Amino acid sequence: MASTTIAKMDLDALLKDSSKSPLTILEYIHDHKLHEPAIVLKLGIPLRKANLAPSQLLSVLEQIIIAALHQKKIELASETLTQIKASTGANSLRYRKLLALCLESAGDFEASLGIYNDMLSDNKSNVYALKRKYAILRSQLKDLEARECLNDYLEQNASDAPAWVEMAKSCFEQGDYKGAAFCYEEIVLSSPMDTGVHCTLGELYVTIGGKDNYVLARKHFAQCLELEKGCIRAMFGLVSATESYLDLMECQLSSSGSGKKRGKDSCWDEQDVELVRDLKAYGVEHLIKSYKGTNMSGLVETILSNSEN
Amino acid sequence: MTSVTFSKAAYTKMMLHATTNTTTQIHGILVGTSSSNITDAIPVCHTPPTKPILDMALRLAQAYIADNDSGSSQIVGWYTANERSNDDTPSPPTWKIVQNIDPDNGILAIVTSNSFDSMLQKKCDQDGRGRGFEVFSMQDTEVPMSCSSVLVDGDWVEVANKVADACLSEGA
Repeated sequence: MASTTIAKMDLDALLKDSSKSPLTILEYIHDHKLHEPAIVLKLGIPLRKANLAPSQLLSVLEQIIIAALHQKKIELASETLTQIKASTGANSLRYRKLLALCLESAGDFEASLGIYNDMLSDNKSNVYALKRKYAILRSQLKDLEARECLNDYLEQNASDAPAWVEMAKSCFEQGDYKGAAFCYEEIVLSSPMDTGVHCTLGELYVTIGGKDNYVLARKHFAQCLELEKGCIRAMFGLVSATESYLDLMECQLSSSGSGKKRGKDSCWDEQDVELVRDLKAYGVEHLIKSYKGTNMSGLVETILSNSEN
Repeated sequence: MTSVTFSKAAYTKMMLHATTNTTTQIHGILVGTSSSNITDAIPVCHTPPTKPILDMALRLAQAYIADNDSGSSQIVGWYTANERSNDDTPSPPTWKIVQNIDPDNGILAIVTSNSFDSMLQKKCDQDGRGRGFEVFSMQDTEVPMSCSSVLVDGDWVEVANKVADACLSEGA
């Protein structure tokens, strides 16, 4: 984010500098992956007929097409695409990518899917085609096919954390919390210091339920609080996880007979139960402290003091 | 249940929640004197709802109702909006939530993508078409309640236009 801001500030300086050619500015926008379609069109359109080296011209034309699609100028994109086709031919991979993008913008998803499927039949590992195919299927609400497509992508690109986030989203929508937890376990490998990921994982384990999952949940909430002491969501999650654990214990002990207590023969370790009680007390104490002085403090104290009973 | 009436406050809060979180799913609690009279909406989250979030939100909502009401109100349903445009079918998890709130008379309101657009353009008609949301009840989870069964406290056109003004002033 910070680098983009700096790049944008430098772009403003470049635009004011009359000694800089439009081509230099367009190259700067391309190299820094800035989203400035209006500027690209303003500077790029006059260059379409300019006397540039073939590779430079093709690069400018490509930028113009992408910018035109962002600005919903499909006709301009189509004209520019025709110019590229005349230069590279219809079999060029880059031309086909741009054609597919134009078709997507025009709403012809069947045709664009056809192009992506052709690309994938030439090369199964074509990451770009897999991503665009997934995006189309997801936007068309074809969830089963989208998930299969994303699965194919993840089999080849297992370290792509944003793709795992997409898969988790799909799992959440279907209520597949175990699947979502699997995805978030992959995400946490690449972002172990991300408090949001730990918090979500904790919440997922509480939702799935079961003693082992409550233990995992409290570990993730604890890690989240270790990284960000004031994380309210993690505090609430910790209280919820510890309460669920204690409720499950009470339920199992009461159903197994009143004579059986916690101890060596029970699956409920005394020390662990005491730890859970301490964690719950910690969560309650810090929540009440965090809300002190706000208009929610009365409500929070009410619900947390009720949970202590 | 033959009809359900939404108060201006409940309608406005629901739409404002959807307007300020257009790229994610949203969830919230519907409060009313009964499932045919919705008096308030309490936003809960704009992420997929999980047990800790629901647990705490419902507890806080109940404490809030007890504090601010003489006891006539209760949690009667849930409102939601999906992440994707044209995805106007409530997801399985939201149905589970409504089932747990009230398996017989629970209400589920879903902010729909198309009519949301028409509400912001102030195209809601006298019958409530273009109001921006649909309502399902546990009595029929397949088909949304008809326009004639979903009412607002006041005139649909006037209320919907005021809701649109509120959403637009928040940057919709």
